[in-house]
Amino acid sequence: MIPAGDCAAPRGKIVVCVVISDPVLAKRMVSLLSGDSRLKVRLGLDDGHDSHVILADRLPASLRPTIIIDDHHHDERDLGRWGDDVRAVLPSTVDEDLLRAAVMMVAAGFTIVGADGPRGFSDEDAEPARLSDIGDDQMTLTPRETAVLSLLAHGASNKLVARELEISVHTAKFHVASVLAKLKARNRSDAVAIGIRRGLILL
Amino acid sequence: MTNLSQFSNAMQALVDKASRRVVAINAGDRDAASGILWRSGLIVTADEALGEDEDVELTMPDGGTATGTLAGRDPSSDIALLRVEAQAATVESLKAASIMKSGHLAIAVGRGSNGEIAASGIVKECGGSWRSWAGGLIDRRILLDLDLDSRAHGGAVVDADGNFIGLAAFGPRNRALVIPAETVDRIAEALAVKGSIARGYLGVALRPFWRRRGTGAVVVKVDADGPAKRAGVHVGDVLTAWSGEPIRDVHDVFRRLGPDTVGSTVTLDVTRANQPTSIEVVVGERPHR
Repeated sequence: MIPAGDCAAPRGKIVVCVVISDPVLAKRMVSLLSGDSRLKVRLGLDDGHDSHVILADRLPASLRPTIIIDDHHHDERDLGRWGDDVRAVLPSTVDEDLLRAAVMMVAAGFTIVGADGPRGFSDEDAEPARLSDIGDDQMTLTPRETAVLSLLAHGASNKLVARELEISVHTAKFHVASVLAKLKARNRSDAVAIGIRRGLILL
Repeated sequence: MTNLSQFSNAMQALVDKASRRVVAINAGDRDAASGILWRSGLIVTADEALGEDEDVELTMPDGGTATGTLAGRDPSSDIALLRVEAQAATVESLKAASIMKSGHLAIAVGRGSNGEIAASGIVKECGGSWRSWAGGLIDRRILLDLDLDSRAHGGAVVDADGNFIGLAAFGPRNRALVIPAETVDRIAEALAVKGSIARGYLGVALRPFWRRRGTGAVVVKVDADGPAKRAGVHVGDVLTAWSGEPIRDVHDVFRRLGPDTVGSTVTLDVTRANQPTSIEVVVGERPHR
């Protein structure tokens, strides 16, 4: 793929500036990012204006690609007020992998659009939206269920699920049923297809 | 006797012979299906026909009942294998149909609660190998011009000599197709031994990605012990091509990781922070934990 001309590719480390008023949340975000050698994480205001990505809980003053951490703006109309620099809105429950992926993508000039609408990542002029089915307790599979779903993708029977996870066949059946219910899947194959689309399965 | 009644009797004899290898899978409230006595004590059926119940009640060709327990299932080739302990389950090996071309007669035989279910037609289309939605390699593409009863799903399809063409299954848009005998043998033998068929594994979770110049898949999670991690794939990388062929979406990657890819080397075209690069990955197997 040829890089689009309008996206400046950062050279060296990607500088992420965390501007979040809640100290607990700010600390969590820093710790999620700090293990990644590709990133240089800074806490506090973006003095030098040399950061590539800003991670904020509200719209910052500097004009930089920004990821907003926000749990309350379910209303699409609220998203409009964020403006052009906001490239993603993520819930505070975001996990390490997704946050890092979002930072890398935003640093490369992309906007992250919601998982409920068109799912995935885009560099089109799209309104940013919440990745609402990630980090949302109602829809999220438990780690056990995620493991079960991955096993289903590899064709495991209930017996094999039980053996792999060291649980009873009865419990395995229960987990399979709950995966199907949560994903609103008709059967195993359907659950696997949905899980693949949502990035829930390790391929 | 007229030619027509001779033909009729010959057809009936074919169905009768084939049905001695076909069992009914009774599944309580779910739609019933059929299975084939593949080898002694082993029944093959369509994975999709089996559903979530893995211990099933069977009606054997002699009318008796038996319990089938799942020995293994492979959704990539739509084949499941059941074990059954019954006198009636002792069989000789199936004779596979040899030459098969479009236009040849094909007879599908299943078993329902009232006995045999038969349908006849011709082979509509006969082609080379193809990949299922889940990446399973099916040795031949055989589509049938016949109306397959859902209760015969998983039953046997035989030719005019009564030889085994393969397992009756439904393809896209509910078209009757055959999982050919050689695929059934290959997969069922592996299931009998190992209980599952290992798929190719990279150890990445992906989400779809699209942009003006093409599509791909973004890496959102990397298994710390997986082949992708070892090859240097990072979270945030965009996978754009698989050994030179563009990656259309996440499912495309899943499909390319069929069982026969384990151990092969693929070249992934990757865009990392807008810089294109390529990474060679040795496809692994999903680790057992």
